[in-house]
Amino acid sequence: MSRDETTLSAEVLDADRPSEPLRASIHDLCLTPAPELDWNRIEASLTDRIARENSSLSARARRGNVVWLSAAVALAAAACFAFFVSRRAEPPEAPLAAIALPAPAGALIALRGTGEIRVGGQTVARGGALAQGARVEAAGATGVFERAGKVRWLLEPGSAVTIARADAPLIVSLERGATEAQVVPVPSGEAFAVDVTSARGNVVRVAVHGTHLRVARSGDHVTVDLSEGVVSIGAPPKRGSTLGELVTAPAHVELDVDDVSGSLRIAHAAEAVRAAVSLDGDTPPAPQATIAALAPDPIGTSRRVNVARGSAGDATAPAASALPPLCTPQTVADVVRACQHGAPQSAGVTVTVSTTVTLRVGDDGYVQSALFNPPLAPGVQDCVAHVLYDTRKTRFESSVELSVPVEVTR
Amino acid sequence: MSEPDNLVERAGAGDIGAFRALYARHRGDVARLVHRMMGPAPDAEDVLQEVFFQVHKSLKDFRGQSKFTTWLHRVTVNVVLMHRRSAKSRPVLSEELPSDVSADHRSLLPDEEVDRRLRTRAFLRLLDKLGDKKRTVFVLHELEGVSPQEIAEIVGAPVLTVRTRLFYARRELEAMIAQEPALAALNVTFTKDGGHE
Repeated sequence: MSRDETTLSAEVLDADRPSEPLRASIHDLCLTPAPELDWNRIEASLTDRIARENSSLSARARRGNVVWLSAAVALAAAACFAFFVSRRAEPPEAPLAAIALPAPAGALIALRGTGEIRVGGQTVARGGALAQGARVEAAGATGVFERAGKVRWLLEPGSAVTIARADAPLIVSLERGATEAQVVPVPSGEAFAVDVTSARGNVVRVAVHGTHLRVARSGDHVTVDLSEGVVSIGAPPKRGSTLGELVTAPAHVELDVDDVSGSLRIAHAAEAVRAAVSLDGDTPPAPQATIAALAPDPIGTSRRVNVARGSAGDATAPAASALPPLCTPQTVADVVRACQHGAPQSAGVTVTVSTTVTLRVGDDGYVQSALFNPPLAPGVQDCVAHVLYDTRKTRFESSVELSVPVEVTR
Repeated sequence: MSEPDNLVERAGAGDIGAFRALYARHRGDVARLVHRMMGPAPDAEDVLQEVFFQVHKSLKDFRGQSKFTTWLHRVTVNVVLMHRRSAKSRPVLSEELPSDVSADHRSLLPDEEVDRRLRTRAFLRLLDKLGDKKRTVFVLHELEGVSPQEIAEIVGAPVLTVRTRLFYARRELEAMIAQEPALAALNVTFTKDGGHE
């Protein structure tokens, strides 16, 4: 035992105090804050480690279960054989799978636009139910789905998802395009999640606790626009909730699935966030004035007939299989002016509004993000966003970033 | 400190939201303790990550026999000591100036603040010379304000042993301060003022 471990008498210890120089040094050190740390990096690394640990534990558990599983299979085979022998004379019954229906994942409640919604390759009408494993495709139309009281979500035209999990939480795997959801908050855990799998097989999950969000993918690049609530973005856990980057609204998030921690970019400026689309049965107010103002523009006369967009099951519109013509910066300026002119304004007042709209266009030619600097009135921004983000009407040269200064006086 | 909302129980049961809340609440305290025990180490972020990884792994076994903060202190101290042992072959404290007192910044700070930071750096270097057991007790008591009774729980030693380690830690540091040029002025000052020296 060292000298330091030989306990001293209580009297000696009671009388012991640090000297003044020592107290001064302690005081100095107490005044020194801990160095600034990159908490995001620490949290990302921690998340990865925990996810790997969970994955490894699950794998071990699966290996451990093999023996039990083998025994169970043997018992089941024996039971089946006995059952078959005892009932071979009776008429065959429906297979078990046909009786045990999978948990419903919701149903199609509205169809917007001119195309159709396919589930498992079959066109469905309103009321069509979704089940786990179903592949849902929006062919030229927007489909709005609902799991009553839990989540309402839409699939944008040209998008496809697979229902990865039908019980709580509902998980959709986004194959292409975009989905937008309004999720009823749950007291604990997650209510809804969107998985995106990269070409290399990596998966990122956007897990929702109660929120309004849109998740879009362009190849392995993912964009999340969060207009309400909180999401967690990270690797899907084997069990429990997603331990990832916690993002609070408003937020515009971009990331690459194969390098989430390295590519994650979060902008919390409200103007960076794509305007939320109403998921009510009624469509959001269409920017009629905007579209009307675009008569000579690429949207074209034949489309102007259909811009009332929207009502669920709009069967009067022609098929929208052709891509819209390319838009130009002038189109953007025209849209902003039209929306600004449509905004309410006091009589006898002249208002001049200046802004610069910066658009990021994905490799599919559709707008991924729109920033207004300085911001416009929310109603005007919504109006502009509805047009710019509408893939039926607005398409640009692919993979460009446009900065369009606009001044409107009225 | 007790944790509201049963955060500890929920986190131990696998509620990741509760774990995140615990992490957000305590990460600053853990970072400060790590900094005081290790000095301006370049791998402090790795140590912090390891602390919370161990917390996540072990939380299910935390039964509440002690305060959560006591348990968290114990995990932190153990991780720091293990890290130091595994890194013993390389110097823990860099001889380079830490970034907060680099030459570029010196001109931006009042002289007194620069002096204080230099003294702090020198003191951290002295702390690093203490043995692990004495340094742990000293940091927890003198810098973190933890009582000897609680330190005894953290390090798993009798209270009297903890107090003895504290006694010797003070003596060793006082002797080193007297020999440290950057801190020698403190001795002079307190001698003139009629202090201990």
